[in-house]
Amino acid sequence: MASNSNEHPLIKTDVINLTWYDGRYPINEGTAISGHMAIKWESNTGLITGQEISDLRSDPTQDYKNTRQFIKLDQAFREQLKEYSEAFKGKTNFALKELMNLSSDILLKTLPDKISLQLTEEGCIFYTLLKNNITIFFSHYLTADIHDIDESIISIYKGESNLLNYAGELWETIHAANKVLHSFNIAIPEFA
Amino acid sequence: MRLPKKITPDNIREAVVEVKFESDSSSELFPGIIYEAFDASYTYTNRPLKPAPQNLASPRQELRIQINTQSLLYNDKIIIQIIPNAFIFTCLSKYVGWSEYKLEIEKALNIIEKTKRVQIWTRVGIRYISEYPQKDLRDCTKFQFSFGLPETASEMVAFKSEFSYKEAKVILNLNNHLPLIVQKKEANRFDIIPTSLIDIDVIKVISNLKDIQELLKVLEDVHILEKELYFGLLREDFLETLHPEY
Repeated sequence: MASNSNEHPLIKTDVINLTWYDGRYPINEGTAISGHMAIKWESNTGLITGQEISDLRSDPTQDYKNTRQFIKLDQAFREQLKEYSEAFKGKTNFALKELMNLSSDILLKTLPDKISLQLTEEGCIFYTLLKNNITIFFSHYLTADIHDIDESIISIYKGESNLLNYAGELWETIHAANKVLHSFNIAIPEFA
Repeated sequence: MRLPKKITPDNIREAVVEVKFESDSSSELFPGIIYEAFDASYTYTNRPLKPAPQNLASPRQELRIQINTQSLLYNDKIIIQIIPNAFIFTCLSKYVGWSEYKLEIEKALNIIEKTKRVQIWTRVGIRYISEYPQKDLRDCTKFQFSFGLPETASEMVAFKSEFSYKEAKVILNLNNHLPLIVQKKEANRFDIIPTSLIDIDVIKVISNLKDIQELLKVLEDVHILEKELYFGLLREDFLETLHPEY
């Protein structure tokens, strides 16, 4: 039994979806209509993936924040590419951007609180990522040919204590990282 | 109802504007068409798009066509996402205020209009998400919540309502004390801050609208509805703390 009132004089509510959490028994909205298909109203404005916010504890602004973080990385990458052009001699900007898309997107899928990148004279993108109290330093070397496997280095810290240092091919590094990050509820997609 | 022109602080975390359209041009051509139409003050980029999570147990499961790439165009103020049959606008950094934001959207829509690839405009949506750290919604809005267990005190409440309002469809989400992780100023220090969210999405479905000036009029009307709903929800004493300017 639930009641509500928003006291707005002009509003007549057509569909109410009310979820109560007491920390133990989250009520799943789906259970009330089990076996029936809910008729959708309108999808939310700006819903990119078509994904509704099914977990009401999740932050509805996360998708937009993630896109904004990607734009910031894109801006930094384009700006620094002019400065470090010698380090990436022989590679087209298009190929470099595609590689940047790959590693930045993998890291952004962890939904970081903060993320930044710095190009280096060794021809790599050095990312710093913060999520909860975990810091990840990730180097993605762009020196390989586009069809070769990229080399990468990762270091993971919880506060001051070092949890992992690993170097290897891109997917090996991510696999090693996930073994450590698993216990902190952070996962980097291995088949993105 | 008298609507303020400005409040300080505005607490707006996201201001999303979406304009949907129909075209006889193929949707995969649109990023290229748009890229050609916009000048060098806009940067085009793209990224692989994360797939929607598949939950086979969900009764809301539906057939979806997955878009592989997110096409993005940005300048120093706004981001434009180009998806099949829709343009989605967001601010590049913080909310710049409606006058400036609308001007940027108008500029972009006029450029898009000149490509002559849009047959009709079909939907306008404006969604504002405002956040209130350490605030209880009962202290800032007219929202009241009770249920049949009076001895319990909810630590968190999530409320979603869908309703019609002056020929628009509205999706209202109110989250009271959503536990958000916030980074403190000291490096690597995080706190969980109970944060309340007011998420108002006003959607106007339009039919057979071709004229760009009419579209901009609809956009302005939807924004006024958004304001009416937001300010209509706020308690008067709380509104006063936001220093409204009329």
